Amino acid sequence: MHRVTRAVGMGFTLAESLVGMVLAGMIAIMLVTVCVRQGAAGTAALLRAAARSQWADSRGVLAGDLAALSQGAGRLLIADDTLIELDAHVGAALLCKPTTGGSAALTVTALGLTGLVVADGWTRAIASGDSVLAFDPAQGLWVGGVLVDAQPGLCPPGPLGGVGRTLTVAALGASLSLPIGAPVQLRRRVRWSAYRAADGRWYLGLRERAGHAWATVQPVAGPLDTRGGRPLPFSLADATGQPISTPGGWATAAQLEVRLAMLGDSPADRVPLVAALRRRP
Amino acid sequence: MPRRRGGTLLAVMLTVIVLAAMGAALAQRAVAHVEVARAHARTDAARAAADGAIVAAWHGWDGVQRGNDAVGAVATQLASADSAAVVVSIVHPSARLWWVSAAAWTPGGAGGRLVARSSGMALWIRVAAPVPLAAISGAGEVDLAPLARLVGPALPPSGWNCPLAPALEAIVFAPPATLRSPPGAVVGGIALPSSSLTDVPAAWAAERSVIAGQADVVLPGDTTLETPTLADSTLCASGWGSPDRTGRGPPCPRRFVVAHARGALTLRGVGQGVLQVDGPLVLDDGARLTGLVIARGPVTLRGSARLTGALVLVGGAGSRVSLLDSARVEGSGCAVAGALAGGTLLTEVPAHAWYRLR
Repeated sequence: MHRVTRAVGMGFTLAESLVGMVLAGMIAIMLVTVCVRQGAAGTAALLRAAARSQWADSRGVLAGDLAALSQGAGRLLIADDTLIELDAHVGAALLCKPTTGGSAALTVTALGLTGLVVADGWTRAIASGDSVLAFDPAQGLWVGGVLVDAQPGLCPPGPLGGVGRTLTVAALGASLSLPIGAPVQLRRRVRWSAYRAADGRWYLGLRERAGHAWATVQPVAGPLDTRGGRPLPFSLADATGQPISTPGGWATAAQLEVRLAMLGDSPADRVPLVAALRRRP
Repeated sequence: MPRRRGGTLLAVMLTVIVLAAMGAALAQRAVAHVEVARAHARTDAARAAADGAIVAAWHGWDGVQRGNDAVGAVATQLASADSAAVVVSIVHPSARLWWVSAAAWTPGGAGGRLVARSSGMALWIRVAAPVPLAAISGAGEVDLAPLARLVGPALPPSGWNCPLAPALEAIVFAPPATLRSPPGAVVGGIALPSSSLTDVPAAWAAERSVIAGQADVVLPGDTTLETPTLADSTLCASGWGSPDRTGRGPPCPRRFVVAHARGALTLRGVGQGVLQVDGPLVLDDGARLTGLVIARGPVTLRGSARLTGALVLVGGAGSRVSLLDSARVEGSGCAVAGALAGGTLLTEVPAHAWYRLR
């Protein structure tokens, strides 16, 4: 008897192979589609996460600068919908050694959180050319000069005693006398703006003025989404909440809003930073 | 039983492995971003706690305590807000300045470290005139009835804690001046012209516009304040406060008024703070005022009226003070310091009082 048998391991029939190839192809197509979609979703998620992180970080820096502003205090120097220029906070400390007339040196606290009293803090590194302002309670005025040099110093024993910093200041009033505890602040002119970088994309940038020259602009957040046109991140409002659009109107600004649309983010991520400028006493 | 090849299973397993790896990577990123967001939230919480503690310290400002702080004194208190631990310090580094700072810590930094944020606020008394060193300072005439009393070094008001307050003289006169009093009616020293002491009325006269600008109660024209208005216990924000700290009086011990009367004023109630009067001032029977009075016109105390603190006569030689019946003027450095540091003469340093320190 002739028996037709298929040996084990001898292969598949044509029909089996065709069906197997079709199925394998379909699975491959599905896998590739899923991978491509996942890759795109992953890239979008990364972009979105990066946008969120950047905005969160830049919000912190920007909020610190805006927190130092007060209504009509003259520290908001220029403002429109693409740029704000302000006298930014570098740091603050308390005078720990009284000054006498003619002295160009101010000894201030540098204890940070280690002292009995939290009496100083710095958001930027001190640099020559920074503006120095000291409050003179006798006049009720801030008197100022330009920082020449900053060196480690020593505060006499007392509630503000310990580690200090000696600021050498040019153009400080010759007859100035300040008591212990007088607030001293350092400022630097900075400019926040939406700018187009060399790669053709838009970023939120920060530029600082060191001495008499502007430093190179540094990207803080971006790239910005330009599908709606040129980014206009800044808007101002007065004390009644009405938008300010007139040139020079920033002098009456009571509220500043920063809204960034970044590439890859979603509208839900665009939580604006709204800063209400403090009222002066 | 047919033998299976396992090709499909292999493909499925590979697919599952790839998808699982992608899912794990996404989950890892999500966890990392949640951690970043949590760190930001903790940082914001620490910032808010530090700022809030300063606002709370300012809101609960005790003028008597702070005004009588020794220069160089530091008051520290612990507080907590949500998950943050907060330390608030109030230092009085020089005569007219206070520095309020707060440091807040929350857990949640990298490696389980604490996140710290700190803020500070500078306060100052806007008037630079020296604190009067006598119950009455200035030129003019002072008349005391037989039962009236002018007491220099008086005890502080009841319930006021100010052991470091300086004792005052009864009167510092700038010439020409006249004192008419029966024996025993004046308790304490009578200082006659002294270069430093006699500057006090002139210095306070120079501050009149500042006080007028800072006044939170302005009384136009001739005014009589009856007791219900003066001792209104329901309006701590706009009343005249209560010097009674024994718990029996109206509940506004931290409220100090800075009042400016542009004309004549008659008081018939209780209050504390700084009072500047451009016209005649009468403290009627039962009136009780604690703090500092700067008077440009004549001053009359009738019945059992009592002024505790200091009276500065800025009207020159034409000034006149009459203590009738059993009225009393009691010098109290404690009351004056409390009035200066407790009312609206103490403000944030202009324009740039707040600082984010860290």
